[in-house]
Amino acid sequence: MDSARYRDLFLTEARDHLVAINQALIALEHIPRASQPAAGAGDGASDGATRASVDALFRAVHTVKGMSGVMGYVAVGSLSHAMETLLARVRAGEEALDGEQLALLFDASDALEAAIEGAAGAQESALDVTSLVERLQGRASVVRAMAADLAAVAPGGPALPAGDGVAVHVVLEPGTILPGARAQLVVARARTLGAVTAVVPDEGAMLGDEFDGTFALRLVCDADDAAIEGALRAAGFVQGVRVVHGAAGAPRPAAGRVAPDGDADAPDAAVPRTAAPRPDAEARFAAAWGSEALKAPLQRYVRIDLRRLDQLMALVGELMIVRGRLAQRATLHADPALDEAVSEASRFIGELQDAVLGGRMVPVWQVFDRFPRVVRDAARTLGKDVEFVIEGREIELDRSLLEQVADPLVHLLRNAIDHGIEDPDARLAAGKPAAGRLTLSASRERNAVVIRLRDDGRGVSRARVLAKAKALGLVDEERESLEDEEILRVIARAGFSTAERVTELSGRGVGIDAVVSRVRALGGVVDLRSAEGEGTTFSLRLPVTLAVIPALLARVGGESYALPLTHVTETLQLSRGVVRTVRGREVIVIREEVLPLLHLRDVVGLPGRDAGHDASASHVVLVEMAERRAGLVVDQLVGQEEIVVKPFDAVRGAASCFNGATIMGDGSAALILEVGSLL
Amino acid sequence: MSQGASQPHVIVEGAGTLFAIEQGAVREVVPARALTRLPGASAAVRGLLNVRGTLVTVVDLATRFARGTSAGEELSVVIVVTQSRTLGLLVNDVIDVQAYSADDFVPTGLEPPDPALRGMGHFDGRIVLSVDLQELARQTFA
Repeated sequence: MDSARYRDLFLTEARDHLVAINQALIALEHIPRASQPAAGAGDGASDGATRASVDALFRAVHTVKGMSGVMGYVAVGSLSHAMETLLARVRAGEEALDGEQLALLFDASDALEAAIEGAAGAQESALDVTSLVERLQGRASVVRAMAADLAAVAPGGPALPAGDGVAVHVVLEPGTILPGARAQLVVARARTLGAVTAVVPDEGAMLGDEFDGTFALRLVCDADDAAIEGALRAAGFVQGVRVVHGAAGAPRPAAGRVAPDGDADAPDAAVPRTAAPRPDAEARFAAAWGSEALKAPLQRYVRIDLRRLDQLMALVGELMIVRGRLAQRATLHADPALDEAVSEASRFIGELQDAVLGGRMVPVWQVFDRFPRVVRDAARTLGKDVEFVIEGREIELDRSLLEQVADPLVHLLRNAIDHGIEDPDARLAAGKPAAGRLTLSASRERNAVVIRLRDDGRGVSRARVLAKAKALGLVDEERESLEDEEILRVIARAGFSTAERVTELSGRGVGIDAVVSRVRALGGVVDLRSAEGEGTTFSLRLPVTLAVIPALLARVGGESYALPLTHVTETLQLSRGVVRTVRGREVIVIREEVLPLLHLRDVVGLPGRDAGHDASASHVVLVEMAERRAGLVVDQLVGQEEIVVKPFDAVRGAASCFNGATIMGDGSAALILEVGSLL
Repeated sequence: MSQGASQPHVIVEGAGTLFAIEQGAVREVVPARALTRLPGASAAVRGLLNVRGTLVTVVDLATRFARGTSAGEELSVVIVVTQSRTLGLLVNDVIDVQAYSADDFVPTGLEPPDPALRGMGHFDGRIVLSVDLQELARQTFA
């Protein structure tokens, strides 16, 4: 088997389950503790919510356990098994989910993540999960011990049918891989000693998902207890063996319904503990492990290796280039049949491109859903109270783009919690609710996706940013205020920080600059709006996809260049604007707006601006990035096209405004001008 | 041929100068079609070539090593891969394949020595310059 491939699949899938686990834990944390099920009376709605979250948690943990078993990842297996066992008892109502236990599950979730990443990175041996497994089991063993005590004092309730011989109760080690098969080995060992007259659960059930490694058998033999125990332990992975003489067996420990604090008022506690078959407990147990809860929704999706999608995209890009060549050649032949065939092929290629691009689009929740945990942890670390809201999680973005924007978003989230949202006391003093509100939203605006992060915190201190900007010599001494875009420009300077303290999370002065440059590199724009005392909003405007962009093709000195349309606002003839020189720099006056004028010819290092070219025939492309605008003079406009972006290795010394190129109809490449780096 | 493990080299000619390129690095030889100039790059970088959809940076060997310029109607680009970077070498012609070992090349008389040249050897009575592709790529890319 191609283990690397399966490892990747395991990793991708397990990460999804980790997200689900964290979401469920956070949801549980938000449900008022008083209405947790085992605590007795609670309102139905939050009981239902608790139930749903516990079910989701259980399902995710169970799936991870199953996958790790198949892959042979022991640490992942034993951790998930311990978590699952704990959750099973919660579902059966045997144990309440208190704060302490939630914290334990959060820790376990972190350890599980480490174990999963470690296992997939083939460093599993380096990871020790025993202490956590013991902590998870710690609660289990208490309950089991109580169950055993109960069994000892309760003469009734045999799990095994009455008969001759001794009842042998066996518990396998937690995390045992394929417990059913192991149990059958134990049963086989028992058969070497004498006749096994009964096994509970039966051997079929042992192979089922719900089997937790606890079983009992009735053995007729002459061997003494120690010999029986020794023989069965020799099967391996046996944690405990208990031999009970006489007709009375013990109930299966896990089936015993035990309220952890022995609370007599717990639901169903009135059921006589001596009732022989204990139908209610068995039913609850079955329901807790029941197959219904484990049923995943029907799969509508398949996983595809991103490289395959990239390959498809590259092929479609080639097709589009060939399409251009075909169309060009066809015009030479003036053959209507050829034209028709070309235009039909052209339409299909266009549709194919849309379909392949669509295949690369993923909803933003695939990344956003990791954030509630990030926010929770950051808020806890900083002693803040934060209510986190996600909006527009179904909005789609190119997969690779979404991945690249995840880190910047994490940074902005932490930044907002650290610097934006005040301490609960300060908020109350300012007449705000104690809990800060942090909203992350995605929306589609024209051919862009806008991701906004809004907090209702203290806002940017303009005075402090202004003072800092003056100290760094970024603005004139006489300035009295800063505009929003100036604030962003100032705080986006590498090494700039107004944070008084360096917290664990942010304030080291690195970050906003990295966020801005990352977003810019993706062809996007960052925008900041802030009102002191009311909060701050960061907006990230991103192209929907990186692979294909609409662009304006322009020529200068016989060379073609592509200008991404996201930054082009309009084009006009140079002769229609008034060109002036202000302080030695050329500007163009358009509709009473004065814009700096740049010549593409200069940008690309071509000599002789006016030689042999009629300047009045030149065009001006108005470009804008964030709040900055300029006019760019080109010789000729060729037209607007959807271009396929091809990266190339950065060449030493080459102008940094070119990072990609597109291939034209004639097979030559045209450089794509990154407008942002000009302004 | 002298002692030592000899390796086949592709002998190419650019503006009258001969160069030896390790054959193991050569992927293919394609005709030099329209090259897209890269503003700001050194004169030896002639631009980008579209090789079936992949953009390859093309260096003119004659400009880089012999102060000449490969010119003419039918130029070729030798596509080489070194340390997973792809580089195109613009030449006038591909002449032959010849085996050389390291000690077939002696240091050039260049002062200071050019680290992208392994040395010079001879081919058919002419001087041939052995190109260190790894170093050439390192110098070309940022």
